[in-house]
Amino acid sequence: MGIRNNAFLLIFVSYSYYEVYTNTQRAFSGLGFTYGSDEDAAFITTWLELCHLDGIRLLTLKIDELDNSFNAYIDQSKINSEFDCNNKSILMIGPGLIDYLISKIDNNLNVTLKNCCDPIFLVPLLYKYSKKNINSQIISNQKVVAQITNKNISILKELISTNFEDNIDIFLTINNMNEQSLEINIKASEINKTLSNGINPNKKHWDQISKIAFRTFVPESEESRSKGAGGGDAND
Amino acid sequence: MLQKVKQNTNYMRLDRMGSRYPSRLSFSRSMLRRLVNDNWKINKSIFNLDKDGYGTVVYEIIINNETYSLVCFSAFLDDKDRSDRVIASKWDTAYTLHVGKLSDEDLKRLKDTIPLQESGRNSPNELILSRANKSVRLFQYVVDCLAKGKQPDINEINKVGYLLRTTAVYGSGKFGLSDFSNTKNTTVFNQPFRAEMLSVYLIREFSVDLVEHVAKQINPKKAIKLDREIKQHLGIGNSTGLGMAPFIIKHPKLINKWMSQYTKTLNNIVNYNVESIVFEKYKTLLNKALNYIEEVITSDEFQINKNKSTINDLRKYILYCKELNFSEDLKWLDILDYCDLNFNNDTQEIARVQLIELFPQISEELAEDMADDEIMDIDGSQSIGDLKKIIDNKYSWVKNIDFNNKNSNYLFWYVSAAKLEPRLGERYNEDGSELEQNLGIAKMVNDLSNSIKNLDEKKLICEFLLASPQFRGIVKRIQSLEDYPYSEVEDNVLDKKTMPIDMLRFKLSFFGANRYDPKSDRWLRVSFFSGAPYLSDLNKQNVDEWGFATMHSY
Repeated sequence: MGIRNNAFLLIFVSYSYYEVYTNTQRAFSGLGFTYGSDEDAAFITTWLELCHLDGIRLLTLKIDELDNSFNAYIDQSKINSEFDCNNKSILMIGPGLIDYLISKIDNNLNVTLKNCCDPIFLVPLLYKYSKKNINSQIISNQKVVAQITNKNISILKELISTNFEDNIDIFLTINNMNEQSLEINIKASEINKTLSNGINPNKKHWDQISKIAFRTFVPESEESRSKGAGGGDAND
Repeated sequence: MLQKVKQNTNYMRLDRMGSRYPSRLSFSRSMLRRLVNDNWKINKSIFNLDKDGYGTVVYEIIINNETYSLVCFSAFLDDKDRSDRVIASKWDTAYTLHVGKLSDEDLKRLKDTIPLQESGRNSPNELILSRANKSVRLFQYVVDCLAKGKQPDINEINKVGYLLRTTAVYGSGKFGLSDFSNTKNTTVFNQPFRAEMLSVYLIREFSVDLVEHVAKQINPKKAIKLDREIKQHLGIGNSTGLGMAPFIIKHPKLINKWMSQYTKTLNNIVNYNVESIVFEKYKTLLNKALNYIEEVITSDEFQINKNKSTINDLRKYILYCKELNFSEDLKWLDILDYCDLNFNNDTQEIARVQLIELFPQISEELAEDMADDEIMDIDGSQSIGDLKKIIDNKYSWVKNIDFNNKNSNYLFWYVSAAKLEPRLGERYNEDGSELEQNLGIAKMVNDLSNSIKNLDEKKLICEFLLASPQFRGIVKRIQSLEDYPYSEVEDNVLDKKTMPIDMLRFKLSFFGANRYDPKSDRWLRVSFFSGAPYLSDLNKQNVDEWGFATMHSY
């Protein structure tokens, strides 16, 4: 019963997974992401935050770039053994790209991503597929910077960035992988245990996201107040 | 081959959803069974109210060596501040269900934050956040009666039905509370809304403790306590608005699970032969339901007429049952089929929920399995042709909607900036439709169908979505729900004629609410646990005997 013994945490403001997901989903919607893409991006951000991988902070670094410039279109003919991301955020193009690559796996698949500035956002997407027994590595300069299996997620700290400059290779396989230990190692079975303590994003970053999320709410008006909810103030 | 309940019953049409009743599968019922069967120990560990009933009360709940605390705060509220709306900011009482025995530090923290409700912050150690207002009509009347040494008139009790009315019962990660996935894994509350139902049940207990305390303070020598039968008729009120409707659309797998357990229960029952002893009990239960509907009070014209129609049909159904000469091979299916062919939706639902009462061995196990994972994923390797087949099979009802007609796209669902209150607007008359929530499933399915109708059937979904990412949400939904027959509301919720209250009633029936009293097509008041025994009287014999309770049930 982990949640019994965390009284010391109560001095901090913590958020639930539900709140972080909902707030970020609204924020992405407020930034112009379409239905579905907003949910994908919210999942990416929330999962990173849950794993203490700075999801909310990284999102704040992308706000100016993403605001009202949503474009997740990908020309299929441009995806071969390499694909040029043109520095479009993985938050926008990652979900569609990974779905596509997964559909092309026979046993193994290797694709080079050029100009991919924020490959950290690939990790949650690849984690999702690890649950379907597709293991993966992200490789940069012939060095594994992330390995994702259904048991462990291992990452080098340098990957936690939105200014990644080197090309990366994504290696996908249905075969087993030898477990690696990198700078950050997360056991898949431990991820949800974080929920017992709540999620603790930096307040400044949280407020920034909340401000964007607020765009999705319809401003109050007398008409909306009286008609919209249908609720009277009958005091009986 | 086993037969099933009439295959063309469409449980997910709005008019059918708006005709549901609580059953043995409802969360209030299953929670109370667990409370009794697992011998939960509940006592008041703190009772600190002043002469006006303001202060703190804590109910401690011990379950298998685990302790939980329902913390109740009561404070003065000016009549002008009392409102059922989400946008209210003050309440007569406020509550939380806390994990563990309450420390002084916990109590101090909760005292600061819980009365603030949505504006406060909670920790994962809190499972539930709620508030309730006094019934202005009933609370003072009952205080006055008890203080004078008189019992209140049960007819007056029946007009309102409760002393306190909750206006929100939050759980599942709202405002910092524990996420359900955490609650499910780390506490005994492993079923949806079980912690909520325990809280509501104890708030009802508190409402009686409160009214009796205030009466005694007024007249210590003469004041009496409520008689058991009057007390038992009191439920706990609940005022509910539009928030429940989006919930149903946003949690399709969960809704499917609830309905699957309901239909599975029925399908397991209907092939049994009808035995005379069991049939006699069934007729008694139908009469109980009839008495209940005859007694329910509502001011809503639509509901009054609906109840009248149900009373008329239910009487005929009871007469049919009474005059039935049943042969040895008569099955329950035959009786339900007759009901379905001849009577209204409400009567059909009553016929079903009262039948379920007779087969606890079937329903009770299913009632302990009402959760589902809510993950939805895209299958990129599916072909466009296969996606079209799913749409043709599962969403055939969408083809009957003419989206060229403005009335088919008339309403929009949105969240107001005012305390995030869920609201419904008229697209052509009000601002804000550009911010509508993605709840118009029929419209989105229609738009997707138009976009893929001329595509190569062999093209893969992932290829289509690379070029058309705006359809990711609806494609994910359609693919994920293919094998979930009760996951979609099979009506256009953007249509001008939509009655949101139908969706509210659907969800409330699974909670176990009764005494439906609509105040418009968008909000209503209900009661929980009306007729249920209080803690001091609750036992294995009476724990499931209180459905459709009337003034004469005790």
